[in-house]
Amino acid sequence: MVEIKLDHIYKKYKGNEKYSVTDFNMDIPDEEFVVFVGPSGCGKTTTLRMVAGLETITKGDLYMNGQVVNKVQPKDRDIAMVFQNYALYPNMTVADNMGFGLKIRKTPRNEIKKRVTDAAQILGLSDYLERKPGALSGGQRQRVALGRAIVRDASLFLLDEPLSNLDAKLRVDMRTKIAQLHQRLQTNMIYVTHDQVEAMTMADRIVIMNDGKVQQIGTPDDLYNKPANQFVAGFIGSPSMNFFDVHLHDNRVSNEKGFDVEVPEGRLKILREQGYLDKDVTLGMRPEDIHTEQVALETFPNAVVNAQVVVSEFLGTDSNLYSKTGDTEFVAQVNARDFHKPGENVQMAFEMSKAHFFDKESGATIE
Amino acid sequence: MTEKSRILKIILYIVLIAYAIITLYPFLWALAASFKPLKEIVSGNPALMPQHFTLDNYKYITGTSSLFTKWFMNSVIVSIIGTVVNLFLNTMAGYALARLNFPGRQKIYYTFLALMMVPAQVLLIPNYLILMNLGMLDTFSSLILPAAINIGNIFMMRQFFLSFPMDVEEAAEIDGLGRIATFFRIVMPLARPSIATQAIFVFMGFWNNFMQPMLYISTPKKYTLTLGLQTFTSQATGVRWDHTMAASIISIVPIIILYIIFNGYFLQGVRMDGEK
Ligand SMILES: Nc1ncnc2c1ncn2[C@@H]1O[C@H](COP(=O)(O)OP(=O)(O)O)[C@@H](O)[C@H]1O
Ligand SMILES: [Mg+2]
Repeated sequence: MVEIKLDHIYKKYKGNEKYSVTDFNMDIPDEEFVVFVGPSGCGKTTTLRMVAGLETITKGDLYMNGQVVNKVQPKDRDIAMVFQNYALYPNMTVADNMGFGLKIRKTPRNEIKKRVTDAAQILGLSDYLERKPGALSGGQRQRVALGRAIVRDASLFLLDEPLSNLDAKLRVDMRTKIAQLHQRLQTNMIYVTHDQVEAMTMADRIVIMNDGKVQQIGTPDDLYNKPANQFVAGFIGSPSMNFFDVHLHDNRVSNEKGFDVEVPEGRLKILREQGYLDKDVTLGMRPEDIHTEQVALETFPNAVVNAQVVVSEFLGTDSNLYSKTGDTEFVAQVNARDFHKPGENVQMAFEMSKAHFFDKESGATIE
Repeated sequence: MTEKSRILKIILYIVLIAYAIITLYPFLWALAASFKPLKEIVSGNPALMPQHFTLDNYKYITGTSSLFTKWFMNSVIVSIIGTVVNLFLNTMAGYALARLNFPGRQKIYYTFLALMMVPAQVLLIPNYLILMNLGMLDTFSSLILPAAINIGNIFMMRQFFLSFPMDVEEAAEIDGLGRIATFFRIVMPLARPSIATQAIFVFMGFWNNFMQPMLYISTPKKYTLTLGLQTFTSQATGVRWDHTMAASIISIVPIIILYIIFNGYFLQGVRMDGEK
């Protein structure tokens, strides 16, 4: 129940040379599930903490419902937050940890009890309510931290890597729980993670950051299919997109190591218009756009590469073939039926209509 | 190797036991003497067990003809008030130096450190003059006010708060507490072990203080125990070792009680961060 606007926000920590967050600019309408994603140290936590009011804003304005809140204390922002390091009260039981925020806000006792019990139920903590945090495992503490947030009906939820210490199964489980929670509460959530899978599965919109700078803001679909630059393209998707340093001449891209494929007319037109003819560019291919089936080899006869499999991973429905052509390494994700053993020489077809092209210097998508 | 270390260990234990006996003996002697008549104490008999066991010494000092009970209560009042004031001020000052951002914080901190090197004796005369001008001589305030803070303890609390996890406080702020409420409801309870350690040292300091009461207090009714005890040894009738011993034994009881209460905190290593 709050509209947030981050208006050209910068953060530089005292004593640091560099800005930790540079020109963060975004509108978050009510009820949106926003995920900040990016490698460790890119400024996700810093941004989240500025929204929470735990960190001062060096430059720029933060609005909530149209009001500048740069100087508003955290306690007056009506937020609930899950901290990266749990930050539980060591001297209180699990139940008291979860209920503390409600107690401060003078919620009636039986109401607190009810909400804590419900949250504990959802989080599988019912048996631990009387324990102190010291007697819990990392995953249990993380769930208590989550519980402390969800018992509150705050108007904004901030979650800083809330699932990072859970095992794989529980993580998937909790992901769904948080998504359901968002649907039930109908409030804004800002969720921080370094895990692109979490970002892709949970977000309405994703903010992808690198080195303090927002790289792209968009829906999971946007980020996957229309990455703004090479960083986004490489960060989203697993296995990562393959990049090839190539030279564009006539209607082909190639390198000296024998990699040579034809670029379809549609893509070529754009490249030509942007003046990349006879220039070096970076070609990006998602692993699933590289094929080994016979039918693909026949469909894309002008983009077939002779490759050798180096490592192959069998994943059930798919297999990942880590291969190389000449000196260039790449990975292809193919149907598990097309499994190839390491050392095998395989012909692979590049589905060039799905190719991405990036400026070699700036990494920006050529479009 | 093991043989050698075993011998070393045995030697170590012999030394420690000898040391324990040497330290303990005078105390046991005093305890025994408090149950002996004066004649037996001064007879030079080194035996610990009283030959003529008597409670008269205790009866005398707690009786009406002695001010001992009064002095004991004076010491209790001064020590408790002084300790409580110290705990609050030292803890808050330590917190401020560790956590709050205000101009000159670093300078204040270094000033404190520098002041720590000033010997207490140097301050006796200036303090006396100040107290005189404030008209506070011969009051309990003269014992409490100049000792209302203790830089050593401020320093200790500062170090404690530096290692105190910031995000626990932040969680409290998010949960709806302001800065001051966070301090009293979250930080103070978690600082209990440090505060308990402080409490013991500060209390002992007040309880055993002799110099300040001697200088500032002149009315016998306002004497503290330490000062009062001294009068037993300087009476015209000669040193009343019998009364002195009984009074000394009683005077260490509060320290022992305090130690028993807080000992748990001393030994308790607390997990502050909610993590492994
Ligand atoms: N309290 C701080 N003081 C100084 N630098 C900090 C502080 N917190 C974070 N940083 C720096 O700011 C950058 C962003 O950190 P952070 O927001 O924690 O990244 P993330 O959460 O994305 O991993 C990092 O380079 C980090 O070293
Ligand atoms: Mg972080």
